[in-house]
Amino acid sequence: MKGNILTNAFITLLFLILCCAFQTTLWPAITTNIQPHIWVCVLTYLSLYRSPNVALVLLCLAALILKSFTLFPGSYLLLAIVFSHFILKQIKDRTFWKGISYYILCTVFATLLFGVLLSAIEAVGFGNSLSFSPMNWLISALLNIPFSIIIYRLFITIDKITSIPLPAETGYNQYV
Amino acid sequence: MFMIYFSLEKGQNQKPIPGVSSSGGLIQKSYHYLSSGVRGSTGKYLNLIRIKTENEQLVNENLFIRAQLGELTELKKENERLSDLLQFKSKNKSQLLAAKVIGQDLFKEHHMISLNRGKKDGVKDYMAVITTGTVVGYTIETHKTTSKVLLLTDKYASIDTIIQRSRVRGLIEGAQSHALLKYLKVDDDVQVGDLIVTSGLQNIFPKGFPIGEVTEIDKIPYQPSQNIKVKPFLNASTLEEAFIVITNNKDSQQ
Repeated sequence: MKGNILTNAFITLLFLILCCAFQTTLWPAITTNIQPHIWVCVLTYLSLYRSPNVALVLLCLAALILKSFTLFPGSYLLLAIVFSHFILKQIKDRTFWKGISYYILCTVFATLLFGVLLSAIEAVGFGNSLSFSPMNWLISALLNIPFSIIIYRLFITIDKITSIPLPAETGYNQYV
Repeated sequence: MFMIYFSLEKGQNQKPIPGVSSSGGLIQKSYHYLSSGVRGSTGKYLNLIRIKTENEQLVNENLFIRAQLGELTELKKENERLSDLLQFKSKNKSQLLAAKVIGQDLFKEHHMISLNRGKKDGVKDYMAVITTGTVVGYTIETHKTTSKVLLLTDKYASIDTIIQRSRVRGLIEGAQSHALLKYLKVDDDVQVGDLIVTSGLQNIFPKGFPIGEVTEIDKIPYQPSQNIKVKPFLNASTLEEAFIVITNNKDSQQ
């Protein structure tokens, strides 16, 4: 993949830190009842619009960043991120179209997927009862929509500046 | 016209011409009436403009004063809160370190807060965190300048406790919105409304510090223990400051 990938990766991860800090510090000042999961928008973008190898590396680094904002074990978090990346890739290989609508749909799906994955991993890993609240994660998925629009526009601009090409409808083979 | 003028000039005692004077006066009166009307309308219009400008200025001033009032109210509330904390700290025998809540967990299901104190302030893992009147939790991860605190309402938190009235010992475990008091025998003396306090046996929390009150007792037949629901006094959503117990004295109050 051509382009300044290191600069792009640095900016992406920095933005992820800002998103997590916003969600954990600024958003609770607005309301503590519901919260978006803005970091899902960033991870979904990496899964959809980066080559598999680059995406995996960035997602591992993203898991390290997310770990610093939660008590959830890092290994389980990484497992959930990699698994969701795999599922998103499979969906993208079968159905893909350029544009923001696809990205928004994938973000909503990824948010719900993370809710299920994290709860299931917690139940298996800790032997604890599932604390998955479908309504909370559904509201989070809907709250992610406006944020995903902003993040998509921002990352498209960053990709243009760092000369990272966007994939087309032909699939992911152009990353070779 | 010249003839009339010269004839008037000749005699100073000459009376003015009646028809001309009265019609002139009538016209003057009507002009005066018209001009006063115009003057009045113009005055009103100018007044309206002035009033509108004054109104805008007053509205802006009002908004500014309201904003200042809001700020002062906030300062007043912060002052009251900090006074309570200072009073609480001075009464407590343990060495307390004041800290501000700077964040919470990424996932709502995990009840964790971040404080702005860390290793450089003398904070270590498994130090008690309290606030005025109740237990908050204990530090679970400390970094150089920040610490993560596991709240007592988290499902992975457990604190050794006793029932203040009957001195029965049990273990409080978090359960999201409430807590469960576990490992009490079925014949242990516990009633709804009993105050649950820290036992001090873990050497983390000061002894006798309030945690919550019993709200529900469920005695299942043929079971060796009873399920007790506790309503914690902690309200994590409004928590802004807390104390980290650096050195613990067994008795929490003077």
